[in-house]
Amino acid sequence: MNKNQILSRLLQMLIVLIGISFLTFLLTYLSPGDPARNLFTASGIMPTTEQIEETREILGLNKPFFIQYKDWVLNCLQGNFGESFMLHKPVSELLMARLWPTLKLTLASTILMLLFSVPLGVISAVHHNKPIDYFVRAITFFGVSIPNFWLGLMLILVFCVKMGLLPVVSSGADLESLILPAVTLAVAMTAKYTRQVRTAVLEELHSDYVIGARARGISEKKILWCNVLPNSLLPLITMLGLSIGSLLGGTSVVEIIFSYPGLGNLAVAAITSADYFLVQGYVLWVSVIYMLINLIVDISYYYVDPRMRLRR
Amino acid sequence: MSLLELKNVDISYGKNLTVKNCSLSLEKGEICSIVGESGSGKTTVIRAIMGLLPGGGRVSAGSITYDGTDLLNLTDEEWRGLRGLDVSMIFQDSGTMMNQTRLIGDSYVEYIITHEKLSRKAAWAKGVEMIERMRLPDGDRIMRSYPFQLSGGQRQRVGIAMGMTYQPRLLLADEPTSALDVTTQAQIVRQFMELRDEYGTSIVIVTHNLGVAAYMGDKIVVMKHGEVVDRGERDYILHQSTNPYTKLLLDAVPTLGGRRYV
Amino acid sequence: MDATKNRFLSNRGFVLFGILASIIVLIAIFAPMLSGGIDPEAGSLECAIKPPDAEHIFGTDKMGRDVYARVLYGARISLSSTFILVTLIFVVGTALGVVSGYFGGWVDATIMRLADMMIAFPGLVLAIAVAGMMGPSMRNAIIAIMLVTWPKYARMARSLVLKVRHTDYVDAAIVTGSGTWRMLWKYMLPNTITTLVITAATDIGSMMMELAALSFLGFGAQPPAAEWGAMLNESRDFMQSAPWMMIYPGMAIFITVVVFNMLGDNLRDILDPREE
Repeated sequence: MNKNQILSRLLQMLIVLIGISFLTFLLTYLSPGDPARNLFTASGIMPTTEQIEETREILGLNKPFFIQYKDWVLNCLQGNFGESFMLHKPVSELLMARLWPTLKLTLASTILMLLFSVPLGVISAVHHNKPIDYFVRAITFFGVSIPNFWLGLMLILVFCVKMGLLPVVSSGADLESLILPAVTLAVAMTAKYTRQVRTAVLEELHSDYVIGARARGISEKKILWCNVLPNSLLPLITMLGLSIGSLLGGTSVVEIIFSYPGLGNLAVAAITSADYFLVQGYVLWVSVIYMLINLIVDISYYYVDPRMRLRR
Repeated sequence: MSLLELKNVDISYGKNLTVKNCSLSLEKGEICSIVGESGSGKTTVIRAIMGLLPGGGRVSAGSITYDGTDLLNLTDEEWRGLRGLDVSMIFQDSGTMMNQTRLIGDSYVEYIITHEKLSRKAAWAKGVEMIERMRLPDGDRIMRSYPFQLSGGQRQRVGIAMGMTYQPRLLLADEPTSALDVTTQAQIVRQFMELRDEYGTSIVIVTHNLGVAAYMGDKIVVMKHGEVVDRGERDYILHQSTNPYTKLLLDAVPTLGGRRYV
Repeated sequence: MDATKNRFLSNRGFVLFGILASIIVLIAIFAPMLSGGIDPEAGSLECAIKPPDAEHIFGTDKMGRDVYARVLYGARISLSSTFILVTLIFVVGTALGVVSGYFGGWVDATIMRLADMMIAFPGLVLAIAVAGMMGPSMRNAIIAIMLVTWPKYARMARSLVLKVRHTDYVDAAIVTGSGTWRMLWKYMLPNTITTLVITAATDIGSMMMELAALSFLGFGAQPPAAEWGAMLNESRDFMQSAPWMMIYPGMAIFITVVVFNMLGDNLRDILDPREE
């Protein structure tokens, strides 16, 4: 991508970001529940009306909506996302602490997914419409249909409760506690990607250059591993970026099941206890990360595929 | 014994017979043109010779022999000893027959080291040499390009260079000039003729252009709807054939100064 | 018409999964009879956490409620809310997409930028935030998922409309004075409907899972409602002592999703033969 394209993408991101920040702010503004009251109830205090009124004044909750929004945005731009009512800590500090465990989980499940989906997809495509292809397709079918929250619970039941092989509660620090959450997340993703790899390889196998290579006497192995596979993995880069991005924000279910100390877990807790600044900060952070990953993916795609880079 | 012999070949896709009862023989150093409209089955025939019928097609009857070898019952291993070495194929657009995401040089080197024990560097040099021999200046620059960065004529010359790397005894050309402008077309056709004169290569060329077919072919086979409708030496086809379809094709060739320009 | 009918009936997968899906729908409808009149939301603490036996074939939960009855009634909530959700997404997404493609200009720009915004964002996160902030209930969960899913349908409908928007017959119809409504209804909508019905059909399974996920997180159906996701959530604390509380509702979701996914896939094969 040239400089102009990147700039225009950044500009688009900025617009989307403004939209999202406005939406989240509006949502928290309209939601029932009063942040000022929550501030007290979170610490187990029943506040008086005067106390609430006073806090509302301090938090700026009595100002008109747009002034509040403007103040919040200006603060965010300076890196001040407010303070969590629930945990009495700056939002950015809380999010930062949870980012790494979630990132670890995301990467682990992505690696697992790639380890399984690429070979399975290739085997399936190479043996198109043979028994093994049907078998792989059946597996992927079940893979996409199994709800990850149930799968997670069943894995805990089998491996932790019945067999006692792994700890029930993840600390997030050691490898052991990473295994089951990562597997749970990887199953559905693997199923989805196996299908994608299969389709991509099948499509690529029908390209003219495969016939050309055969006509030149190149071995099937070389055609598959040195030409077809690298080419069919190219479009998957984009998908991979999207998945990593949505995993970063969407691991809540799995994190909760395994009590894994990640972003998603924190977010659900924040939403449940109407910890507004934390929720807003979380939404903003995740969307920025998500968009940045997509931008990086698009840029790298541009460099990996010569057709994007060089074609006039 | 003929170098290539097709006897009563039927080619079918599922239950559909695409090519019926096709026979053809080719001597060493001979050029045979197969001419016909699109859908006449001419491309299917040479793909079948190469064992590269697309999408589930198969030779359902007849025999194809090359230099005494039955081509219909070769193992993958035996095919690899033949394809690209003894028998080469040139396509309508050689550019699309190469991996678009790899440099032409990479595809070329991959091809050379499949058939010959050479270092990458030596293989690359050989590729450059072959390309330059096909009158493409600056072979190294061509090798460092992607297929889509070259013009149609350049791509076709690269294809011919690749096809001629090991001076095959038989060259199969599938509409090799159809995607080119008239000037380039003439140059490429002349280059084919030189190959025969220089190396004694036998050529089967498939084309819808009777002009090209007649210019190149020692003999001409006319196909229509999967069947051979007319065949013979060039002079017979051009001047004596009474076949109405052949005449129709001849009439479609443009004339220049009262002389049919074929 | 007969040919169409045959196309559906000669597809064995479609017939099989059509029957299975109908059975699930029938289970939902006749849940009160099938459960033998047991109230899924009532139980007595004396019979709490009983393993499966002749009386309670799926056992009982922490409140002494019959898990079998709750699983049957769960089909009602799951199916009805999923169908409402898919219909809503379908209607809203298609309408916005068709309008966007037909009118173009600022209408198009506004709708599509809004869609971009929703897509440039991990769906479940926003759904959780919306559902959580509006207060947990099934209705809000449906609205939340709809808000993050409609852009997919809108984009599809828009591109399909754009394909025919500037064809001669459409121009001719406009020149001969067909009104806007007529244009949308008669010419634009029919062009989008097949593709979008296929999409909606194949989405039923995943929409059902997302709704269950929200309920599982506590942002959807609220206790004491018999909803599969919510039941799984309640079962977590009893994993060791009462695994049946979690096995049966989970199986119910899994089977239902498999059946509807299969049905959707087969429907796509019938309506859209280009795919494999």
